[in-house]
This record gives sequence, structure tokens and C-alpha cells, in this order.
Amino acid sequence: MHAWTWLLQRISAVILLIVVGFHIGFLHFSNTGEPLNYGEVVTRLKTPILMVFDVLLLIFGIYHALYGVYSVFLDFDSGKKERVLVFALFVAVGVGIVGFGIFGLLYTAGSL
Amino acid sequence: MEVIKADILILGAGGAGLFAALHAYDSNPRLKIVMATKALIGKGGCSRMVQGGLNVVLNGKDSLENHFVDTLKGGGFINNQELAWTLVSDAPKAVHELEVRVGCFFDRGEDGKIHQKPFAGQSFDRTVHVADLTGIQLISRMTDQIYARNIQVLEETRGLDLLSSKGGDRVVGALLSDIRTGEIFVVNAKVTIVATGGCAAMYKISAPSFDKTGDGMAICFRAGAEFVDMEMVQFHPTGLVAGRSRLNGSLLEEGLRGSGARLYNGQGERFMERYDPERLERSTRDRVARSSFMEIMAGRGTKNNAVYLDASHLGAEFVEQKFPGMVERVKDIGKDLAREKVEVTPTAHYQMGGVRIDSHCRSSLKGLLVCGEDAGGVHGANRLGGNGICDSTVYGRRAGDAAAALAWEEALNPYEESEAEKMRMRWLKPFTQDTGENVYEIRDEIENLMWKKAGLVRIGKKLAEAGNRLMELLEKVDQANVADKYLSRYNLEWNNIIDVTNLIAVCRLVVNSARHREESRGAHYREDFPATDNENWLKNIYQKKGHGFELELTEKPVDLKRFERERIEDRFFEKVKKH
Amino acid sequence: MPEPLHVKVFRFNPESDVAPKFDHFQVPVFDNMAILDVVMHIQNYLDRSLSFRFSCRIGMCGSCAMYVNGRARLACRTQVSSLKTRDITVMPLPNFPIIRDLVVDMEPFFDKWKKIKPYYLPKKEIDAPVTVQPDSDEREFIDDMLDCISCGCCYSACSMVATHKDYLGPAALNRAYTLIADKRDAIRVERLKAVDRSYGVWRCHTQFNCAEVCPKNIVPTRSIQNLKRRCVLKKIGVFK
Repeated sequence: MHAWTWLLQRISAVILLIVVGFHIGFLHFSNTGEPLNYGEVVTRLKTPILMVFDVLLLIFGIYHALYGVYSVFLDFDSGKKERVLVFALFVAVGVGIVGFGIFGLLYTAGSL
Repeated sequence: MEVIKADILILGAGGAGLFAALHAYDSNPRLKIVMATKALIGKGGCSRMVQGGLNVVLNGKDSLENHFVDTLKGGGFINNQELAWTLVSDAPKAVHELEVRVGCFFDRGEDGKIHQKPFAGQSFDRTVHVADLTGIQLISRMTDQIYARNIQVLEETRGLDLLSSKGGDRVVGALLSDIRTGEIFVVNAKVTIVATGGCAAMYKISAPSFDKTGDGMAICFRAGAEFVDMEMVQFHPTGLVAGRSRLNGSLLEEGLRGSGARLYNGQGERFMERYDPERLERSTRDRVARSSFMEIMAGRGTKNNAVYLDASHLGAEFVEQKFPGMVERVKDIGKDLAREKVEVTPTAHYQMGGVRIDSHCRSSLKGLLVCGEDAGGVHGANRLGGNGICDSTVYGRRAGDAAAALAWEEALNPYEESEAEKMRMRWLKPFTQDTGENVYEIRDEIENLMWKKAGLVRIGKKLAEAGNRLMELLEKVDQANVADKYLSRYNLEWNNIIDVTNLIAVCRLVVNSARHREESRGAHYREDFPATDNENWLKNIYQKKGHGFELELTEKPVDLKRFERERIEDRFFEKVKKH
Repeated sequence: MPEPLHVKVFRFNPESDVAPKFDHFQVPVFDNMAILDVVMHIQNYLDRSLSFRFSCRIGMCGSCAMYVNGRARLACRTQVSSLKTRDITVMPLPNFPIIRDLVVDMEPFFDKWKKIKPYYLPKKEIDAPVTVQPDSDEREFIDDMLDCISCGCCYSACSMVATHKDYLGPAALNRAYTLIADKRDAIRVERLKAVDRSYGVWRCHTQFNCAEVCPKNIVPTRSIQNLKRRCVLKKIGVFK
């Protein structure tokens, strides 16, 4: 399993470079006015491509971060039971955050 | 005292000891093998420090006969010819095994085959190597193989004395001490292999590790084993000069001279032109070392009593690529081997003499096998560079095979307990005295004494003085005490007392034998008898323990059955030109 | 006379001492002096009860690794002048149990070394030294990594070793790499399985502490990363 999660960590790093770059670039170049108002932000969020990249950013960002923290946990002595427990906790937290994030995005964009 | 029972006990874990253990185990995995080493496994002694490489005939254009004759010529024709022949004929098997079974990977040449580099004193480029630090790979890989086998390894455990059976007719193991705890215990074994290495630490300037204090030889000597040609101590010509630092005397490898590095005296003369105009710096070690020494003694050395080794004309890139380890070592003293000349001095290196053995490593005592530098006779009066690790591996293998066969035939004989107890009390003596001699002063004195009076150039009178002084030092070391007598755990001082006691035993053999050989041959040079005397001295000198502290000495003509007397020509021997 | 060195030496005998302490010594300096010369001078002439381990004195055996001025080093290959100070503190290697003073018990290190099956096992068909062109990539970077003298410096500097007792550590993994990348070896897959564990290669955080202290300039991190890659390749069936 370590091989896969490690590989995914590497892949997520590359994907994050792309999606973070896109996210920042998109927000920078698609500014409709200064200062922004809520309506404009919502409109911008409705762009399908940004939505897709933001969801990717969310998924891979959370994976990358949680994998990192979990590795730090593994660096210290722990029993098998604790490891499984913490792993389950991290999965739950990850799935929870990603779920809530996607829900938030869609909700804000008015798709829900 | 704790007693461990075993089939085979091996003292020493260098090239010879490790190979002996592997071969004994592989011959018969049911045998219980115990291996004890003074250091951590694979870290002590000199096989690990091998730089140059290992001589072996692999090329179709070379031949065993060539290697054999080179070995005899180098050895001044007093080699035991059976042993020398076994060395060269077994070497290809040893290298094959090292590469194919043990997992070493020797450097490859352009053609993808094992590369063989030039070494001094050889008619063919036949030294296989791993860059310029070959020993690390050899010993690391052999040690790894030990881990794959059920062999009991006692690290930081030193042999103190051999034990004899109740009848006293055979060796049945040894008394050992665990350095980490200071505990003394017994290993009762059917066969004992001694492979602890040489004794160059007796000299002020020496190349090997400091733990090479002739322990194995001294142990065998006290047990009554017979020795051969102990006067033959090799000095390597190119020891690094590093003042009072422990780096002083460490080697710059022979491959440098093999590749064409030159030696100059303090006046800038390429002095080897006078001593060996034919082979110059590629002459044998004994000649080059003595030539350097004589230049220095004649006041033609550098101000640090050294000569210069110059490899810069070979091209900085070549030197850095071929000799990275040497370049790094020289960098430690702030010099650049690839670009400037470096001061070097002869440095004590190898004991050609040792326990007399046959080609199956059997000594004169039953149950005692000896291999590696502890054994004598293979190299005669001078060893060729690259024949050292060759000896350790070839005879390590043989000792392992022989021990396995013997252990299978023999029953375990009990040891004489009262004798063991007496030995134990004697070794513990330094702990029982509140005051006494300081062992470090004694050690310093031995190193200077041997360097001055029994070194590269010897003279009867000084040898006699050295012999007498050694007797006094022997009494002195018996009065040595340890500073903290409640401290047996990892007590370096106590171990030094044991080292020095052993060292003196071996020094006495060297000095006595050197006094007796009234001629010059190979590494042994007598100022009062500067010529090689083939009429009277194609002989080996044998010694063993006599009554009390006496040494029993006999001499016997060399058995010239493979390379006859008629083929030995005058031109093989050194003629020193006067300056 | 130049100013002597002020040397602080760690002293501890687990048998009799309640706690470790430091002893202070003034040691005269000479040319080309290495840390090994310093501790030997102390032991021979100032305090004969000091303990340390050494053998070859020229950086080939890896016996004399110590923690000198905050860093794991070989005592024999560390020139006093390179420290650029007269104040020297010598301690035993971290991450090892102490036998006495500067002597540590290397057992945990070698236990882990043994766990990766460090012994070469040839493929059946190999009965002669293989032919390898020196400029081919057959040997990858194995030969550079084979210089290891198992001194334990990397092991003592690795923070993953410090935090977890089961982590194999840089030296053992480096040895594993040299075998797994060796095409002559018969049990490469089995070896790879032995290191493809949480406390095998996956604990390495590529901090390069090991590489920084290695007296032989080996970069174990590189070997470990290479092993990780091979673990993935094995999973997708490319490494056999």
C-alpha cells in the first residue's frame, strides 16, 4: 500500500503545481472589477473549467496535506491498533473535508 | 569460568578468518563454529585496509609458473615452494569465489572483463582490485556472507592463550576475554584456527591498524608452535609522513609506483637509478624501502627524514581517477597528490615469517591450524604487493576446509582446567597491583627500540642489545598495572598490557632470528653482512619456545624441489652501489 | 607553543555511574592532528581510564565514529584544524546504546543491516565473473554506494531513526539498494519486499542528514529514493 500512497503523493504534488497555478492565474486574469463584489465572485465560480480545477485542487491538496501529516505520525513509535485508528480518522477527516468543500463550491455557485 | 563448546574456534575475522569460517561452514553446516575477533567483525586488522589488490593469474598470456617465479624471486628464494605454489595455483579459485559466490565486484577493464593492474616486482599486470581501496569491498562482502550462516561471532573478544588437552598433546581451544565486560572465559574446541594477523605495530612507523600486535603469533608461541623466518619483516616504501599524527606511516599504495610514480631524495635526485637501474621504482618493496632508508640515513632525505613520491607527471586527472582514496588521504595532511610531490618514508608493513604450516595450514601442534599473516613461509624474505590478501584468502579457504575435515574426525577433548585457571590469574595480574609500570611508556620504547635496532638496516651488535632490552621490558610489562583497577569494562589500558606482552614475545623472535641470519636477503639487511650468501644461507630459520624464556633455534636448507638451485642466478639479488 | 585544545569528553560507565558527565582536558596541538590523536593523547598520557573504539586510523574500517562538535564524524579523518576552534566536545554517537564513554553498542545498527539480507546470492546460471563494459549503465550507481564502511554516522544523524526504533536506517537501505540493483543477484524481489514496509524505505523523508555526515560521501537518500521507485515498479509488474 505504501508504494501506491507514496506514488499518489508524488502525482498529487505535480497536479497541485498545475491546478494551483491555474487557480491563481485564472483569478488574476478574470478580474471583472475592483473591488470585487459577491455577485461577480459567484459568476466567476460558475465557469465550469474553474470549478473542475478547484475540485481537483481540493482533493489533491487535502490528500497531500493529510498524507504528510500521517507520515509524521508514523515516524513515531505506535502500535498497530493506533495506526489503523489514526488512518481511519485521517480518511474520515479527508473524505469529510473534501465532501464539505465540494458541497460548498456547488452550493455557492448555485448548482444546488 | 564460562565454557563454550564448539567444533571449530577461529581467532580473527580478517580475510583469512572470515574465509576460513565460510569454508568450514559450507563444508559441513552441522559443525558448530565460533569466531572471535578483537574488533567488530570485519573491522579489525589489515585485510580491510588492503588498497592495491590481489594477484591472480586470469589472463591466457600469463601463467601460474610466471606468478610462482615472481613470488620466489621477490622472496629471495627461501619461500617454502610448496606453499608458494599453492598460493598461485589456488588464487584463481579464490578470486572466482570472491566474485561469483561472495558477491564482490572487481573493477572491469575496457573489454568488460576483470581489470588487472600493474604492481611492482611482477612480470605481468595481474593485480585485481576495486579502485584503490579494495579491502573494504572484500571484507564487507565476506562479513555479509557470515550473516547468512549459523556461525557464532564473538565481537570485541580476544584470544589470550591456547588451551591444551589433559595429556598436553593437542590444542583444544582457547582462553578468551570479552573486551566489553572484561570477563575471561573458555572456548573448548576440536580444532582451533589462528588468523589474527601480523605484528607491524612493534615499529615506530607502521602501516597496519594499531590492533596488529602479533596476538596470534604470541599465543601460538606460548603454546609451543614452531616458527619460520621471523626476521623477515617487510617495510613498505611509501608510508605517508604526517609527523606525530596517527596518520603517520599509513600507506600510499603500490599501484602509484606501478603506474610510474617516481621517488626523489631531498636533493632532487631520482635515487632508484643507483639502486636498481633496471626496474627503478617498480623494484620490489624490500629494495625500494631500503634504498629510501639509506638515502635518508646518508643525510640526503628531506628535513622531515623522508623522500619524495611524485605522481604529478602522470597527469592530475589520471591520478584523481585511478587513486581517489590516496588523493583523499593525502588531502588530510594538506597536500595534493595529483599535483605535487609528497613526503614518504619506509613504514613497517608485513611479517613474512610466522608459524610454520603445511599446505593445509597445519602447524606443528595437533589441533592448531594457522593461516594468513600469522603463518610463515609463503613469501620467503619479501612479499610482493598484492600477494598479501591473496595469501589470506587462499589459506583462509584451505584452513576452513581442513578444519571441517578434522573436526568431523575428532572427538572433543577436555582442556586442562588448572592450566586455564593459572593463565587467567596471570592475565588478571595488572588489576591486582596498586602501583606499577606504565604500559604506554613501554610500548613507546619498544617501537623506538625496534625501529632503531631491528629495522630496515640491522647490525649484530645492536640486535644483541635489542634482545637484551626486550628481556628487561618483558619483566617490566609483567609489573604493569591499570590505573583504575575496578574497571574491567572496555578497559583499553588492560588490553594494551596484553598487546604489549604479546608484542614483546614476537619482537624477541624477530630479533633472535635476525641475529642468527648472518647475510642479507630480501627484507633482512645486515650492515655487517651486506651480501646475499647463497652458499650458506639458502636456509630457513626455525624457532620455538625453549625452557623458561629461552628460544630454541634450528636452521634447515630450503627444499628447492620446484625451482631448482641451478636456476637461481646472481642477477636476482641486490647489489648496492656505493654513492 | 600554540594554545592547547580545550577538550570536553563525555564519560559514562552504565555499570557504576548514575549519570553521564563531562571531563575537561588541555591537549597540546601538533601538525596534522586528528580527533583520534586527541583522544589517544588523553588516554595514553592524561587519563588512562578513557574508552573509545578505533582500529585502522585511515578511514577504512569505520570503527571510530564519534559525535564531535555537534556532528557525527570519523575521529581518524577529522582534522583538528578543520574544526576551526580550540574548543572541542567529543561525545558518543547518538541513537546508540552506550557501552562505556565513547564506545557505543553497534548491535541495533547491525541487526537492521542483517534484516535486509545483506548477503549476495548469485543466480544459478552465473558460473563465471560477468562481463560488464565499464561505460555501460549495467551497474547504475551501485559501485559508488559500495564504499560504505558501516561506521554508523548516517544512522546516528537520521532523525527518523531517532524517532522510531524499527526504522531500518540509511546504511542498511543503501546496502539493500546495492543488492537489489545488482542484476547478478538471485533474490532481488524478495529483498525488495523486505524493504517495502512502512519502517523500510517509506520512513525516509529525504532530509539528507545521512548524506551530510557520510565520511565516504555516499548519498543513501539517493539509494532509498531509487528503492521507492522500484517498489512502485514492482507493483505495476515492471520490476521482476
